[in-house]
Formats: sequence, C-alpha cells, structure tokens
Amino acid sequence: MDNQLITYFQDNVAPDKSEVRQIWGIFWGQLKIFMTYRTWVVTDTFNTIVSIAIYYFLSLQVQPSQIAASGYGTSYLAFSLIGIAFANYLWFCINRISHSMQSEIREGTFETIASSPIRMRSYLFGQAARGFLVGLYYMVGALAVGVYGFNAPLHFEPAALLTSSLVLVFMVLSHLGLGIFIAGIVLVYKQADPVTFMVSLFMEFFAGALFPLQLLSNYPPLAIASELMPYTYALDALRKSLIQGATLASQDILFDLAVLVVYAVILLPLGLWSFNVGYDRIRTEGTTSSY
Amino acid sequence: MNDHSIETIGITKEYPGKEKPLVAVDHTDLLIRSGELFGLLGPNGAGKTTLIKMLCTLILPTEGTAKVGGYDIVKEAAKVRETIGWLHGETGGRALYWRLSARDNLRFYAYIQNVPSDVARKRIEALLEFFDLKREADSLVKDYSTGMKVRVMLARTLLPNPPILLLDEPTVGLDAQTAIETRKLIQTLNRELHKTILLTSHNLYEVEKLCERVAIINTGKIVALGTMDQLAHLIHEAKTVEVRLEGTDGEAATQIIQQLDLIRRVMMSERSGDGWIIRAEVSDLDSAIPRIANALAGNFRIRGISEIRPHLEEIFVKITEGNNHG
Ligand SMILES: Nc1ncnc2c1ncn2[C@@H]1O[C@H](COP(=O)(O)OP(=O)(O)OP(=O)(O)O)[C@@H](O)[C@H]1O
Ligand SMILES: [Mg+2]
Repeated sequence: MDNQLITYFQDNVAPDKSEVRQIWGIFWGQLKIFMTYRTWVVTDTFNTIVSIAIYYFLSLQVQPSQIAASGYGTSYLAFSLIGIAFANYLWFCINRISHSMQSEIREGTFETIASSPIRMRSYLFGQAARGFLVGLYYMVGALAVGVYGFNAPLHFEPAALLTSSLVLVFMVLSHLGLGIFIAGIVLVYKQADPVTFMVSLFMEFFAGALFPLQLLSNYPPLAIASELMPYTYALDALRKSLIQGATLASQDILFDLAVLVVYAVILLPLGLWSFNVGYDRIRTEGTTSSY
Repeated sequence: MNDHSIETIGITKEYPGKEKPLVAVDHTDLLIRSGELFGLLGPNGAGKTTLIKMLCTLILPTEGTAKVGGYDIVKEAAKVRETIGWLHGETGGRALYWRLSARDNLRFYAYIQNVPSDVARKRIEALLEFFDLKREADSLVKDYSTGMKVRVMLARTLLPNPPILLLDEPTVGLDAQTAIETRKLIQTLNRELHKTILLTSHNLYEVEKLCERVAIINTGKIVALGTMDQLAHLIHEAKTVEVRLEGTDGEAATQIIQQLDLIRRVMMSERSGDGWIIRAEVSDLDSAIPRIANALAGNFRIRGISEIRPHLEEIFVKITEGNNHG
C-alpha cells in the first residue's frame, strides 16, 4: 500500500516559489475559512443596514447648513454614509492582521506557516487581500443600501468612482502599514482586540467619520489630532468625490492623495520592521504558539 | 548539494523565566548523518521540542549554532524551511485549520509550501488515500477525531516531499492500527526515499524498532548517545547470559556455572515451567557461551544459551533516573 504512495514522492519536483501564488494561497484559504462563519456574515450585514437606517433618521434632525459649511453638500445621510461605508476598511486594515495573528498563534497554525517556505510578507499581504475583499462587500453593500434604500445623494459617475477607488487603494495601503505595525506589537503581547479596537475607534472619531471636523476647531489639541490621522484625508477625498463629484483634476483631492501616499511610504516599511522585531522577539521567547 | 544532515554545535536555549532563566537545551552537540533515522528520547521537559523548534527556525538559539541540510538555522532560515518537514504531534491536532476540510488544508499548505499545483493534486489524493481520510476529506477538520487530525498533520508534513523530517511525537493519539502503518511509513520514507529523520517519542518500543541511533537528553543535555547495542553496554558493562535447561532441578548446574572464572555472578536461578532458567553476568560474552555449554555438556540437557539484551525502556530508566525532573 505505501509503495503506491511512494511513487508520488520519487520525482524531484522544482518548488514553485512565486510570491503571487503564496499570497493567493493565503487569500484563498482565509476566504474559505471566513465563508464558514455564515451567521457572522448575516449579522454584520444586518448591522450595517440598521446603522444606515439610524443615520437616515438622524439626518432628518441635522441642519443641512452645518454640513454645507464643511463643503460636503447638504445631506447628513450622504455625509455619514461615507463614514460608515468606509469605516469597515479602516477596521479591517487596523484589525485584520493582528486578529488573525493572535488566533493563529493560539491555534498553533502560525508555527506551521512560520516554519514553511512562504515569505512572511506574502502571508501579510494575503491576509490583507482577504480583508480587502470582505471590506468591499460591506462597502458596496452599505453604499447601495444608502443610495437605493434611503436616497442618499451620491455621485456614481465613472470619474468620481475612479477617483474614489484610487483614494481607497491608498487609504488601505497607508492604514495597512499601521495595522502591520500593531500586529508586530500584538505578536509579543498577544492581546490584539482591546488595542486595535481603541485605535480604530479613535481614528474613526478624530477623522470625522460622523461629524464635520469644524466642530473640533474650538479644541486645538483635538483638531491637531484629527489632522494627524491619515483617515481624515481619505474621508475628505472620498466625500469630495462621491458627494461633490470632484475628480483627480481637483487640487484638494490631489493633496489628500499625496498625504496618503506619504503615509503609505512611511508606514508600510515601518510596519514590516515592527513585525520583524516582534517576530524575532517571540522566536527568542519561544512563544510562536500559545496552546 | 546533497547534504541532508543535521548538525548542532553547542546549541543552547535559555528561556527568560520569571525568577531565573531556564536552560532548556544546554550546549548540545549532535550530528545526524544524511539518510539516518535518529531517535531523540528524554523525559517530559527534557528539551526535545525546544531543540526541534530551533531546528525548524521557530525558536532562536541563545548560544551555539546548528546546520540543517547544510544551512545555518539563523542566517539561512529561509533555506532551512525549504528543506524540512516538521510535525508536532503534541499539539493533538491543533495546528491545522479546523474550519477547512482535510483536502482544503492540504491545498492551502501546498500553496504556502511551494508545491506546484499539478503535483500537489496527485500527492494530496494519494495521501488522503494512504491515511484513510478519503471518506471525510471534504468535511471540516473541527469535526475530526484527534487521530484523524494527526493524520492530516502527517499528510501535510509529507506533502512538499522535504529531504529532512523533524517528527516530534508523530504517533501521539493514533490508534494501534494507524500507529503501525505510520511507523512502517516512516521506515519506508527513510529506507526507500532516503529521508533524514529525527524522531522523538515517548513510545520506547517505537524508537527501538525504528531508529538506528538514539540520543537520550535530560535537562537539556545529551546523557547518552549511540546505537541500541552501544547504549545497552552503557548500562550493562557486563553482559548477561541466559541458560535454559531441561528438567526442574538446576541447582547442580548453577553450582558448575558459578565456578567458571568468567562468570561475575549468578543473578537468577529458578524453575520455569518444565524447565530451569539461570541468568548470569559474564565478563566476556563471546567465550562465555561455549564455555558454559562445555561445562554443562554431558550432565545436563541444554535447551538454549543466549545473550539477554536490555530493552530500551530499561536503558532509558537507568540513564535518566539519577537526574531529578526539571
Ligand atoms: N516558551 C517557553 N518559555 C519558557 N519555558 C519554556 C518554554 N517552552 C518550554 N519551556 C520549558 O523548557 C523545558 C523544555 O521543554 P520542552 O518542551 O522542550 O521539553 P520536551 O522534552 O519536549 O518535553 P515533553 O516530553 O513533555 O514534550 C521545560 O522545562 C519547559 O517548561
Ligand atoms: Mg515535547
């Protein structure tokens, strides 16, 4: 019986070291795992719809002039819808990798990856790719529910969509760097969720996901905090393109994009560095698993 | 490059403990030759898993170095990972994706272990077949028994066909039938595919049956190393000979044996069924057997005279009993 098995192992096959294939493998496996959590998908979808409905009713109370003063049109629903729809991306960028890292260390699968030929960065990008896809599902879903269910006035012209997609890509890249950076810390301390929850909430709040940032202008320290958040620039560009129809021809959009690029260029290498430091630290402590 | 050996030079692992550091592996030198099936034994906490995890690049040594397949485990970790297959049976089937099926787990690991897809497809089916997982191959691993999970882990380890296998308690949790099959497989992998295998196990019978050479490690140090014969000699400087006689009165024969000069002492002399058994320590095995046969010839009917070898278990206990558990 084992002679038959042995025949499949006699030839010397050259390994397929393609990094794209490694990333695809992680993406594929993680997505398959995600799909087994059906109830989770259902409750999250439900939560998205409910929160949009809540903001719809809130929007009936907010004075259009307050929104208009910030340069994002006159609808609070459209304003907050962008905040909600893209918040998922913020959360996945910050949480995804730390969260998987923590559970893979607990389950012991992290060790099987760390002792395999796959490169760590392929693993990280594969995880990110799966988060990106699931984020897309919630984003498109939230926008569709807001626009078609509650009549939020958004621009879906090709130029606005193209602009916002580009902004999204750089928003993801800059925040991913931050997420990987946090993952490096989480590797060592193995407490992901409280940390990333605080960071995400903090960013969401200070970037003005749900209120115009003018409200912070009376509190200089808070205003400075909001100006330091890359998410602030992403939201600004997304709102200008999707609400006002601004394109890459707009100075404001180009400025926002430039800030995001700078953050991505700084944060991605910094993130990978922090991850490596954390990785070496747990290999020193012998805590690549915690079962 | 065809160097599939494992070599450690003064390798040491000190864990930063709460009060004082704990030395789990203590300046260990070990050379496992290319194509060898080598057993690593030791009581709980002796440092076996720590040593193996250093070899598979999951733990960084505090001091010393090691080469696996000719590659430095710290400086050339990526190369080492392409050369090894690691299995940690102690995890009890944890180190798998429980929310993927066995087949999907193997597909997943084919990607991250760089196994080309067409080859992977064939190997996965063959491995599922061999490990008797075909029927459940598409159910989620979380619903498997521990033994089934360990079989999936074994399949994963073999999938990339690595020349060096680091098998840390590969048969833990397997039923007798699967354990036997797995042992056979380990032997075949070594003999026919010339894999270098480092095996740890608390099943001494398994190690005795499979391994050419064995090292016993205790509190991080190698306390004995050699072939089974060499280890046996370590604890029995004098060898033991067993004489089986016909008839139920062996007292006279015992007297005669006792007087031979190469007999150190008679350890046992008693009736056994319809015969008699005498065991004696001798200083020289080769001449003892014919001398005893000569001395008894004529007066007694000899059923057999043979050497008694201690089992690995006996050796293991003798060697490690002096040391208290860490
Ligand atoms: N990450 C860690 N941090 C601190 N101490 C550790 C760590 N991992 C293992 N140890 C300690 O190091 C020693 C060696 O452990 P190891 O797991 O290598 O032993 P082992 O020989 O594999 O034992 P077993 O037969 O029980 O599997 C033990 O005293 C253990 O408690
Ligand atoms: Mg162990």
